[in-house]
Amino acid sequence: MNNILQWGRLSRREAIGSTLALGAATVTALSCPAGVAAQTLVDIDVLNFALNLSYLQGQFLSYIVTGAGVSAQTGTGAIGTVNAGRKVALDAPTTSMLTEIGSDTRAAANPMRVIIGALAIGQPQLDISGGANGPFTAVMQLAGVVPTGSEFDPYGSEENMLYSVFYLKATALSTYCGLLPLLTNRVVIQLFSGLIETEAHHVAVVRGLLYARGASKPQMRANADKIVAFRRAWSGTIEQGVSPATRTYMGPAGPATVLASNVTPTSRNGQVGGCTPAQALNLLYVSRTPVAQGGFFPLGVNGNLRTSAGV
Amino acid sequence: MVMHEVDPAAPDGEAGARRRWLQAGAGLFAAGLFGSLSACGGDDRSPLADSPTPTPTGSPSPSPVATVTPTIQALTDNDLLIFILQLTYLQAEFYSMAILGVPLPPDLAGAGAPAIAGPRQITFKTAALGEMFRELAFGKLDQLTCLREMLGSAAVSRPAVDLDVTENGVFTRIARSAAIVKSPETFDVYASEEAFLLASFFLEDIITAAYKGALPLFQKSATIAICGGLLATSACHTAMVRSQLYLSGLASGSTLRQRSIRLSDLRDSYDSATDLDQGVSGGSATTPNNSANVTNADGEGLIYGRPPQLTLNVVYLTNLPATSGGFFPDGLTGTIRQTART
Repeated sequence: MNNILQWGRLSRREAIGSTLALGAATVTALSCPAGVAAQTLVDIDVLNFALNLSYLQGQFLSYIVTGAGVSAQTGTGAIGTVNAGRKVALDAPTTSMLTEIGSDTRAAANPMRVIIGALAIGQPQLDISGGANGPFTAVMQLAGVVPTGSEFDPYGSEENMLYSVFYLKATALSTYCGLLPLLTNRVVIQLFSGLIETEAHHVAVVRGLLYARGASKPQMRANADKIVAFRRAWSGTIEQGVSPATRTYMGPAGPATVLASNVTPTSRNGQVGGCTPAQALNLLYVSRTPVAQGGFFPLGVNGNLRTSAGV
Repeated sequence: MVMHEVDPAAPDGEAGARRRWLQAGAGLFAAGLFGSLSACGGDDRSPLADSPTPTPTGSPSPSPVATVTPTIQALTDNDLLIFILQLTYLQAEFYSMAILGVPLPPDLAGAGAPAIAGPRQITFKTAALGEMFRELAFGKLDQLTCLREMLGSAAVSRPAVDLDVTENGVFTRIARSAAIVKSPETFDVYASEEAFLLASFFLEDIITAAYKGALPLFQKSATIAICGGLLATSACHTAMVRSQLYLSGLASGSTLRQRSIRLSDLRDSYDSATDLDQGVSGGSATTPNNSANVTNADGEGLIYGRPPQLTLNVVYLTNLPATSGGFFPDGLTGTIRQTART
């Protein structure tokens, strides 16, 4: 069992060792009180829920950068296709950063799939289409980025792409932060800590771009703020907008007031906020009422956590 | 590429020394892991308790090396919080003095915190970058407040920290080791935006990796919930610095990407033989390319982590047994203060 103790990069071989260890833990748990045994199931449910988000974002980012999707991951649940997107015209550094974000996102599905083992979900039906009936139009109308009745094309410009990636990445980050304390297996906690940090990097990169571009194009910060307000209202996540804030402190020559950016979603408690999977599904099914499908997942997510909370 | 400090006492040279000390680190982590995994059986002994000296696998030199016995250190949530608190002090003082122009107020640094020499307030020529660093500075103060509240009366004061740029200052030593400057040149990280980005980058990745290494060792899920939020904030801060370093480094003739790789290699030289650390672009330190590597992640898309004792190797700037050095001339306070290699 020493192989699960190797620090750092969880290679496939080591991760397979972890699967075996997780299996062993499950067997041990069966001899424990029922309440304890159920916790092992929770870890798998959490990882499977995260896989849905990984598949969704992985396909979306692939279309943005290359104009094509990637092969659907197989596994348990109904395997779906992608209501597709298309390539976005971007400058070289932005392309490179979005390419990195996409490959991180897709790569991170692998250790999760290996640890879950045979119960790992496959890719459900996904909708990342633009157009009047696409989920991004629904979201951006609700958030007030475009007026009701107007179409929003996530692939139409760098600006629209950034809003769209921001919406999904912020949702993944707050979901993972909310899920972390539910985990019991230490190997899974280690993996999930790395996953949260990766998603946090991605969120900061996208928010950083929105902030920087917004210096000369003020609507970019304003629209990002609207998306944050929508996410707060529908998921209960404590999150800051992107527009700068003034901070006052005792400076070298007395009280000082300075302008600080809001690239990090963190509020004054120093922490990124979390939400529950059911709250995240409000944002992903784009529904005020509790449902089991819709929006980005027209036939619902795969796995056991699949009903939204409602707003 | 980068000079690695070699342990002269290790008869099988650097590689063997580094390998053994990685094993020691793994042993430390094992204690935390198994203590929890077996907890549901009502038996919280480490499985290693039955065989305290596991046979290292793949060790090429069975003699005459001194036996390395993994130190099984029982760590409480408070031990780990005190460790994280002190790393946060380091960053908070760095940004507070360099960005806000003032040291931490006494109610945040704690009673008796020694004065710090070195940092000077920076003036930013790029407005947006100044705004971002001010966000970072205040963000660290918020994290510090959160950690001190969690610890309550158990919070320790800030220990002595070195943020100096003169001949013997920590940043000059780092820059010389990473071949960024040659003796007798010094490296003044407070003199320019570019130099300050590199210094911030050096510290940011250490703390983000430390959070990942510490998190699975916490026992209480309430602590994990809060520290998970703090961890995500640290990762956002790190990404802000790394992305700005990458974008600034794309300017024609810039050495920033190359220097980030050299600094990453230097951090990596202190912790283990495994590559756990990357610069902000692809390619090598000799010929960095233009591809983004903002996320300091492994081949499976996950940010690298270091267990606490290996983090100490990096902040003490040594691959040797130590209880002080580098950024902490008098060491850390508390249970976690000795580097992994013992």
